[in-house]
Amino acid sequence: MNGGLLFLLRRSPRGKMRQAWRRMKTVKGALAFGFGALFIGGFVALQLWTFTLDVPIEPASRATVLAYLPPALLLLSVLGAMSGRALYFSPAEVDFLFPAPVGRRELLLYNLVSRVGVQLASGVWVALFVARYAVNPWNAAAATALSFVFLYVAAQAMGVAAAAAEVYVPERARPYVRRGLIVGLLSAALAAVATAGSGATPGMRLRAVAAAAPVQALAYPLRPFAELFGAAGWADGALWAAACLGVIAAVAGLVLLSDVAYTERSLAVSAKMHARLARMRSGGGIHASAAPSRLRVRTPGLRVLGGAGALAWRQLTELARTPRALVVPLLGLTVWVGTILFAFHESGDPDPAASAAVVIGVCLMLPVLFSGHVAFDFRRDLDRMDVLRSLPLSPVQVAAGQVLPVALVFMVMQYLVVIAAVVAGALRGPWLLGLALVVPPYAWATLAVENGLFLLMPYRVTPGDDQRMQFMGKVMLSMFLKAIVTGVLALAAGAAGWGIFRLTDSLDAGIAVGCVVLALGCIPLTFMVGLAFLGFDIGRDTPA
Amino acid sequence: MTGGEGAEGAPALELAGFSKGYGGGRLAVDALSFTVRGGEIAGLVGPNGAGKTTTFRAIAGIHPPGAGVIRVAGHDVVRDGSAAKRRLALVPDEPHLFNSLTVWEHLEFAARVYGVPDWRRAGETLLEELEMAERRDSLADELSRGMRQKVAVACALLHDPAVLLLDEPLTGLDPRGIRTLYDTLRRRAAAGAAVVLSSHLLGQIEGLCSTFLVLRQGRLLFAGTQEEMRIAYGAEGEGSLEELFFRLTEGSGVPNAPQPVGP
Repeated sequence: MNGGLLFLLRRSPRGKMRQAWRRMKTVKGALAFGFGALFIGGFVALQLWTFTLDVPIEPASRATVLAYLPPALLLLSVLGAMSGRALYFSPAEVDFLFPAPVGRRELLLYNLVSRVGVQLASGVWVALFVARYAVNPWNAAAATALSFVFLYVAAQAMGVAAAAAEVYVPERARPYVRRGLIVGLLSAALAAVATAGSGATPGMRLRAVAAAAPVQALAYPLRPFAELFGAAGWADGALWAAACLGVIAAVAGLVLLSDVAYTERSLAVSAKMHARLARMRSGGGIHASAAPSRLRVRTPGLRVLGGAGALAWRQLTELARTPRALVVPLLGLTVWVGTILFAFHESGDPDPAASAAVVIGVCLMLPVLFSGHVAFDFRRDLDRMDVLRSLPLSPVQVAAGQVLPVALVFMVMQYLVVIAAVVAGALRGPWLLGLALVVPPYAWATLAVENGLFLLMPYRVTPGDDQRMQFMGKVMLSMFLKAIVTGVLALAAGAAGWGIFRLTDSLDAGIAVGCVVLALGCIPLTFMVGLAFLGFDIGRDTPA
Repeated sequence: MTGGEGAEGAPALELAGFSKGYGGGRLAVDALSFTVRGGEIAGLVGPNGAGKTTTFRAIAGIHPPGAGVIRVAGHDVVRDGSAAKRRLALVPDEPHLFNSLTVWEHLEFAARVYGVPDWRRAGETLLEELEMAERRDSLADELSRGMRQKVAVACALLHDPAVLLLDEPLTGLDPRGIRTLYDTLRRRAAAGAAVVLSSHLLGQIEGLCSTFLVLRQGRLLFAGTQEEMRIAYGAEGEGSLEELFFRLTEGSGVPNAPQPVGP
C-alpha cells in the first residue's frame, strides 16, 4: 500500500485522541466527555450485569437463526449499498488522495481498513443486546462483529459493481433504472408475501419472504455467519469464524481485483454525504438535514411581532419547505396517539385520572424527546450567528423570534394529541382545560431551555464526526439539564396550583394559577436565552 | 502559447478535444483544447459554470474525460494515470485538511504519498516561504481559512510538480498572503513548472499570469496573452483584463462576437 495511506492509517487514531484530549481541556468538553463516558460505560455495565442474572432466556434455535439471519444480512447489505456510504471519502481524503498517484485498489483497501474498526465496534455494541439470545454468547458476539465487517465489504462490493454497471447505462436513464430496480425488488418481496396465503400472520409472511428460493440462493454464502451465531461449542465457533473471515476475504478480494473506475461515483456520493453532514452540523437531525424540497409554501409574515416576527417567519418558512424535518416527530406522535386510542378502545371505561395522566405524560414528553429533530431555531443558525448579532434587535427579541417557530410546532402537535384523546374519551373536565392551558407555556419553556443550553454549549460534533463519546455526552448532559430546568419550573407551577386548590378547594382555580405561574416562568427563561445569545462567543464557538 | 518545454520536449500540460458531461446530457466542458508549457503561468478565467473546476478535476484524474485526451508532462491521465499524477498537483478551491493532523504531519503525509525522499528540508523551506513555520505543530482545525490554503499549497509543492493547478487560490488570503503566494508561484514557474490558476479576481491575477484561457459554458473563447486579447477584441488603449473579459464573455462592443477556439 502507498506509504502515505499507511501513514494516514497509523496517524489518524493518534490524531483523533489528540483532538479529543484537546477538547477535554475545556470545561464544556470535559463535561461532555464525562457524561458520554458515564452514559456509555453505565449502559455497557448494565448490559453485562443482566448477563449475570439468572433469568431464563430461550435461545434462538439453529433453524430459526439459519432461516432469518442470512436473508437479514442480505437485506442490510443492499440497504448499505444504496446509502453509498462504502464509497464515501471525507473531503480531505478527496482533496489529497484522489489527485495523488494512488491506485484505485489501494484507495479502496485504505477505505476498508480505515473503517473496519468502527464496524467492529458497532458489531460489539449490537452484540451486547443480541448475544444473550444465542446458545453461546461469545460465538454470537463474534458473529455479530464479523457480520458488521461483512456488511461494509458487501456494500463496497455493490457500490463498485454499480459503478461498473453505470458505464453501460446512459446518464439520463440511470435514475429510472435505479427506481426500476427498487420497484422490482419490492414487487418480488410482495409476491413472496402473497404466497403465504390470505390468513397468514405477519410472522408467517416474513418467513415466506425469507424462505423464497431466490432469497435463499442469494443468502446462501452468508450461512457461516448464522452458523457461528448458533454454534454451541468453541471448536464449532472457531471453524465457522474462519469460514466467515473467508467469506469477507473473498468479497474484499473480488472488490480489490476488479479494477473498476469508481472514483466519479465515489465523488458524487462523497459530495452528497458531505453536504448532508454539513447540514446536520447545524442541527435538526437526519431528516432536517435533507435538502429542502421544491415546495414554495408561504407562511404568515408575523409582522405584528416586528423584528422578532421576521426571524420567526424566516424559520417557519424554512420549516414549511423542509417537510421531512417533521417525519420523526409526526411518526412518534402517530404511534403514541394510535396506541392511546387503541388502549382506551380496548379498556372500555378507564379511570379518568389514570387516562388523563397518560395523555398529559405524552404531551409533556413530546417536546423533550423530539425537539432535537425540529431544530429550526438557534441550532440551525449556528453558522449565521454573526448575522443574527448584527441585526438591530435586542437579544430578547432575537431569542423570542428564534424560539417561537419550534414552540409553535410543538404546541400544534400537543394539541393534536389533546384532540385525539378527547375523541377517544380519554380526557375530559378540568384535566382537558388544564392541559389545554399548560401546552403553550410548557412548549415555550422546553424549547427556550433547549436553545439556552445550546447557546451555552454549542458543541459541533455530529453523529458523523469522530468524537462520538463527546457528542453522546453533550446530548445526555443537555437532556439532563433540560429535565432539571423544566422540572423545577413545572414543580413551581404545580406547587402554586396545588396551594390554591387547597385554599379554595377549586381544581379549576388551581389549574389556572399553575398555568399562570408556568407562563410567567417563560419570561425569565426567554431573557436567559437572550443573555446566552449575548454571551455567545462568535470567535470561539463558530467554525473557521 | 509561450514558455519553455515540459519534460521530454512535450508541453507540460496538453488538452486535446476534452469534453465532459454530467446528468441530463449537459456538457460541462465541450471539446476543450489548449497547451501550457513549463515556465508559463496561465490564468483560467470564465463566469460561474464555465467548466473551470471540471477541467481541473479532469486534469487531476478525478473525473474521467468523456472524450478527448489530457496529458500531463507527456503522460496520458487515463492510460498512465499514476505517472501523470506524480508530475501534477491540485490545490482545490476549498482547502479541506485532515483535522487530526498537524501542519507538519500534512507535509509528511504528502511526502509519503508522492514518495519524496529527504523532504524535511524542502518542507521547512516551504513553510518559511509561506510564512507558516510558526504553525507547524498546529492541528488543521486550529488554522484560519487562509492558513489552511497555505498548507494545501505547501503540500502541493512538496513533490516539485511539473504542472501546478490552483482553483481559486486567492480566496481567503490576505494581501500579504497573496503576495507571498505570487512570489512562490513565480519561483516555481521560473524553475520550469507550468502553473494554471483559476480566479474571479481578474485584477489580482492580471499582473501574475503570462497567458489567459477564457472559458464560457464549457468552450474555450480565447487562449493567449493579454496583449493578444486586446488586439483581437478591439479594446481601445490599455484595456484591463476585466474589461476584456466582459467583452469576451458577454460579447458587448465586440464587432464580431467571439467564436470558440479549437475544434
